[in-house]
Formats: sequence, structure tokens, C-alpha cells
Amino acid sequence: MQALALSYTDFEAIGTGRYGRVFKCRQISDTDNFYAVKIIPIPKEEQENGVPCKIIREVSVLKELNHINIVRLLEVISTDSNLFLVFECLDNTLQVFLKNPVMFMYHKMMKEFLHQILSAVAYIHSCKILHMNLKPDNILVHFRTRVLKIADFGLARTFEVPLDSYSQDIGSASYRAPELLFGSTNYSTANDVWSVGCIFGEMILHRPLFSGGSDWEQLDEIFSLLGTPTEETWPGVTSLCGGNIDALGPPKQRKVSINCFACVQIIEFQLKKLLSTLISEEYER
Amino acid sequence: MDFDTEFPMPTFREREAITSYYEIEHLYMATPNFYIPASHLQYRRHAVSTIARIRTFGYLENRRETDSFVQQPLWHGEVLDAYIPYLAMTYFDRFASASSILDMPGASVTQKVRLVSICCLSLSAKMRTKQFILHRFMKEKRLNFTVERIMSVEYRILTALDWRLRTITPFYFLDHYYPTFKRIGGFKRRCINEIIVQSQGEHFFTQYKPSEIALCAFLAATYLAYPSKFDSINKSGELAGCYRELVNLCLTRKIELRGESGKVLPSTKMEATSTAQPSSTKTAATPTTQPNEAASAAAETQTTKSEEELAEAIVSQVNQQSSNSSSRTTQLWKTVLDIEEEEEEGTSQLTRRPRTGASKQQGQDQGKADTSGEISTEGKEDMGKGVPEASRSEVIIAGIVTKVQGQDKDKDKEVVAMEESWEEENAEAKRLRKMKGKAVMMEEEDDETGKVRFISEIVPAAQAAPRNLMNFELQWPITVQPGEVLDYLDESLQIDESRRVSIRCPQTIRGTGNDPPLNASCCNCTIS
Repeated sequence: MQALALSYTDFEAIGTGRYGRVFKCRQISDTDNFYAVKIIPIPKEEQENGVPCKIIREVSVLKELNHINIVRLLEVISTDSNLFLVFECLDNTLQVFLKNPVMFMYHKMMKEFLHQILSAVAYIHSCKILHMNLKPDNILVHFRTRVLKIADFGLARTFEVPLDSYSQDIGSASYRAPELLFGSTNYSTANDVWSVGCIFGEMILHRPLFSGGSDWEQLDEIFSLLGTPTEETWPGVTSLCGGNIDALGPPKQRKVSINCFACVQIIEFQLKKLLSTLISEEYER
Repeated sequence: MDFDTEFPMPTFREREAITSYYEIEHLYMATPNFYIPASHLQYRRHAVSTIARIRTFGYLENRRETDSFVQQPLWHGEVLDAYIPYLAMTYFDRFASASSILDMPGASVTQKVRLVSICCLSLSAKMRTKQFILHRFMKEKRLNFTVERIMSVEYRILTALDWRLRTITPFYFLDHYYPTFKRIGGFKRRCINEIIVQSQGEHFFTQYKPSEIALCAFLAATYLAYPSKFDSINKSGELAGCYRELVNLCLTRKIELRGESGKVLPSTKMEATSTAQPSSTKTAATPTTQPNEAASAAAETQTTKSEEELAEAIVSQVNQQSSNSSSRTTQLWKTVLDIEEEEEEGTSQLTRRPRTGASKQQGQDQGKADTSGEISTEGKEDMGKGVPEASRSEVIIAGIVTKVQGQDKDKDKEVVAMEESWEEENAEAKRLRKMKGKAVMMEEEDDETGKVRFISEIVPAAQAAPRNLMNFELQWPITVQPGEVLDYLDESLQIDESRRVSIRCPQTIRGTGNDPPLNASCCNCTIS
């Protein structure tokens, strides 16, 4: 903390993330602007591994990204047991907005938000980076200007030379694409887009599109909305679920949700399109 | 650019990204003149050998203990991912030129360089995989640095690199060049990857920008695999030195080139047979490319024809191919292996190249710099002529060969002497219990086969692992020339200017900002 107190003041706790606490603070020299400081403790057992790989990845990725819809990393201060990442400060996460139904009365705002998310994701992918953990908690919103910024690149990966498999430790289940729920380790850009689709659905419904607890419950929910996949609708699905398509339960029909909002059809279209393209990504040529 | 399912038109954003890579790529390499002083080169050689050795010994150790142990990868979960050492060397290059290695903790310069290269390796491993566990890795490799020390050095490297570990590498540009080269037959991604990774073991290539290396890897592959098409490529003369060296590299390291279909391309096979002739020096390997080209030129027209037909057939049978290819690959791999076994002799002599080449150090570096210089200055005018140029460079090379052969006998003696001194160094290190693990392993190997055979020995291990894009054995020079212990190099930091070896290609204008603007929408290398 001392290292940080040299140049920052007025600390105010604003949240506790999965990996550390976040404080809001001002710079001593310039008290007009607020900054968010993420304090990442490096526990003793992790020190055995040198600088944690999560931090190396997050910082190295953020250093390269320069986009209005991606949170800006301003400074990295390291001590032996702690790491301080100084970000620009945004007051809310998208999660907070989603809890307040009044916020999404207007479709215009919804579209604005989605557009910002999608352009950020397109930018990330064009830089050959996968976010792998897109969810409303990781999307920050500036309340006054309605600018959205994607944060938390702790699970991000670069894929200029694709790796055969990525580790299973990815994102929360609610925003995970079905093939990952099946246990596939082939992460691709399509999976980030799936997460965006889920976030969009959540904006419309004011509740998570899929909220299943376990992987199988989650899959069940996906299929009850989109119908159980078959080899025709999703080539290769049999091999994904271990050759046992019956394990997916009795086939469900695709629901046409007319009684939802009009724009639900848009997601329907998106998700449908996604499902068909999800596993078409091929790395090995 | 035609529509192509494999390489769709790049989106606006992708083109934008590529353009930005061209603008910033020079930030991700060693500073222009850094590798001119001999001492800096020596740092790099040591770093390369440290990393190569860490990798190689891991496998040798495992192979040997397969009877009693379950075969373990380099560290838990790691396959033969050659990109990790590649990245590590890019970090090393940048770190070494950004801040002084001599400031690092460590008893001797050798120790410092080793420490830095190990930290670079751990950083790159962490960037690439999640399964990397430092202390386990250290234990497996018997590296006895404290974790605290590793961590503090990691921080220093990170700070020096401004935490920018996502490096722009040649791989970012490959997608950009593939469609162009697909039209002349195409290559498997894996072999292009291999060329690039193997080139990182040689300091010569540090002077070229990532995009140049990417292009030259394709040019070199074309030169070897589709010689008849090579002249139809409009290429800039500046890169002549680069792709010539890459061609040499492909030949000496026996990188097999495969077409889109996964078929081993003809010239690689020819190369395999041609290297069976005793050729003990690096320069001697070069002329083999010339007859290769000449002899195969006639045959090539047929083979490329069949290659084209094959390519067509493949488009229609992609699915079938993909299922067949695995079995096919293994078969081919076996045949290649057979050839390699037969040529054990030739291989060992060839693989000796980096060392013997290096042992001559100043002298040969000078010669090498001269040839590359000459070739590259001639590059532009010769591009049009094609054939005369080949014969001319042959003359140059022939000149060198005679020189080199004259020195051959002396050199062999030198090598022996140096090996001895290397062993002495090892013994000393062992006594000091500093590089305990390595010294022990080193000696074991010395007794049995000699270091030179490492590369050929490892092949079966690679065969066992699944073959994929980055899955091949690293063939970086494992030995730094012995006798040149880094610790005594400090005095040589003041180099006699007249003896200074310029490894730079005179015409490259790297990192100067004078580079011609590259239009990202099309490849700057066109086929007429």
C-alpha cells in the first residue's frame, strides 16, 4: 500500500472482485480525476510460481489494446506481495444496469450498448486476442456518458499461433457456449460472440438468458430454447457429447418466442446463426 | 484477391490491425545495432543454448527413464510447443537491448545470461499455457535458482519490456502471405512455422523485421519446393540475404516442406539424398541447392504439374483427405526417419555446423557477412537474370569452400580441444554445484554419444507426440562454442573497430522509419 500511497490518495473501496479488491482514488498531483486501483495480492503459495500468469496476461494484453470501449490501464506498480493496477475509473458495471429494469426501457440504449460491446469484441479479435470471460460483471459503464468498457482480461489469450486446447478454467457457466459445456477445449472467437449474445438476451429479458447451475442444466436450458441439436443442425455434435446423442435427453422442439419482446427474434436469429457456425472454426490446415 | 474459403477477404478491422503491425513491429525486436559487438552475440548464443538445452534434456531424460517412469512432458501438460522458446528469445532480444544484462544478479556473466534466459522462458510459458508451474519446472530441470530471485528478475524483465509481452512475431503476418503463395502450390502451416522457429536460433536473423522473416520463410520454402516458380515472384533485393540464409537453414536442419495436401514436396526429398554426400561445412551445403535447382528444374515442371492436379483433387476431397492424412503423415514420417537413420553420419556432420561455424567466429563471420553483403548488393540486378546470378553466387561460395576445406583439419583439432575445455567448464560448474543438473546430464551424454547426435536422437520422441502446428523439435544450436566462456568476455567489450563484424545487410533499412508504406490490403510480394 505504501508504494501506492506515494502518488494516490482518498482511497475508497468500491468492490471486491474474484482476484482482489478495487479501490477508487485520486492522484495527489491532480485531484480532479478518479482512478480505480485493483489490488492483487500474491499469496505465498503462488509466489512459488513467480509472477502470476494471470497478471502477466492481463497486463500484456491491456497494454496492446487501445480502443474506446476497452478499459485503459494506466499504471502497474509491483511490490513483492502485491500488485497494483491503476485503471481509469468507471462508476458502474453492466450488471448494475441490468438489475434496474427502467434503464432498458428504450431500445435505443440497448442498441447503443450492444453496438459498443460488439465493436470492442471485434477489435479484440482483430488483435488476435480472445477475452474468454465476457459477462455483465466485466463490462463497465460510465453512467453519465453511457460509454461501455470491457474489463478483466485475466483469462484472455492470444491466438496468433493457435494452441490446440485451452484450459477449462473459463468464464462463468451462464455465458459459456454449448460446446464448451460439452467439455470441448477448442476456444474460438465464436465463443466470445456467444457470450455477447447471452448478454444481449439478458438486456432484453432483464434476467440471465440461461441461468443453469451445472453444465448439464445449462445445456438443457439452451436446448429447450433452441431445440436439441442434431447432426443436421449442428454437424459434429455427436462426437462432442461422446457419441451418445441420447444423453441429451428427449429431443426438444425449437421454441418460437412470439410473446417475448419483438427484438427477441433478433437474438434468435443471432443464436441460430451462431450455433451453425460455432464449430466450423478450423485451425489446422 | 479471389474469394477463398480458407482465406476469406480480411475484414476492415483485420486490415487495420495488419497495418498497425507493420507500423509497430520494429518495437518488438532487438535494437538495430545491438548484435554487432561480439560480446552481445555471445550473450545471445548462450541464451539460445540455455533454452535449447533445457528443452532437449528434458526429453532425453524422459526417454531414458521410460522404463521406470511414465513418460512426462517438459512440464506438466506441455506438448512439444516450439512457440514457447521462440517467444522467450524475442523477450531476450528486447530485454538485452533495452537494459544491461550485466546489472542482473549472478556470480558470473554466464550465470546472469542463464538466469535471464530462464526467466524469459518462464514468462513465455506463462503467456502461452496455464499448466506451467515454475517450481515444478525448476525441480524437473534441476535448476537451483531461488524462486524469489526468479520472480525479481521476472519483474525486471517485465518492467524493461513495459509489460508488453504480446509480441508481434512473424506469425501475425502469415495469414497475410498464405493466399499469395497458395497460388503457386501452397505449404502446410507447420513447415512455415518450423522455418521461422528454427531461424530464431541464429543471430543472423535478428536484423530482420518480423514481417520480413515471414515473407522470407515463404520465399525460402518456394525456392526449395517450387524452384520453377521462384523467379516469377517479384521480391525486393534487400531480402536476398535473408531468404538465402533461410534456405541454408532449411537444408542444414532438414526441415521437410509439405504442400497443402500434406505431401512432402519433392525437393525436400532430393535434399535428403543430396545431403548424404559428405558435406562437412555450412558453406558446402549451399552449392547443393544449385544443382538441386538445375537438376530438378526439368523434373520440377512435371512434379509441379502433378502437384497442381493433386491440389485440385484435394479441393474435392478435403474431408477424405483429412481423415487419411494422419495415417499418411505417419507413414511419410517413418520414411523420413529411415532416411535420417541411414544418414546418421551426414547428419552429425551437418548438425555440427553451428558449432564449427561459430568456432571460427571472427573469421567465418566475416566471410559470411561478406557473402551476404555481396549477394544482397547484387540482389536487385540479379533478380531479373535469375540463372546467371545462381552461377555467380556459386563461384563466390566455391571460393569459400576451398578456403574452408583448407582449414578443415585444423578446425577439427580445434573442436576437440574446445570440447575438452567445455567439459572442463562443466566439471568446474559441477564442483561449484551451480549448474548441477545440467553438468551431470551433459557429462552423461558426452560419454555416450557426443552432443552432436542429440538432434537426431530426439526424433522418435517427436514422433510419439501428436503432430500439429507447433509440434516439432527445436533445433537450435545447443552448444555455444566452447572455450569462449562468457566471463572472460567483459574485457572484449572494447572491440577493436577494425575487427568488428558487421552482420547487417547493408541495404536493410530496419526500424529507421524509412520503410516503404505497405498496403495492408494486398501482399507486397506479387507473382507475375
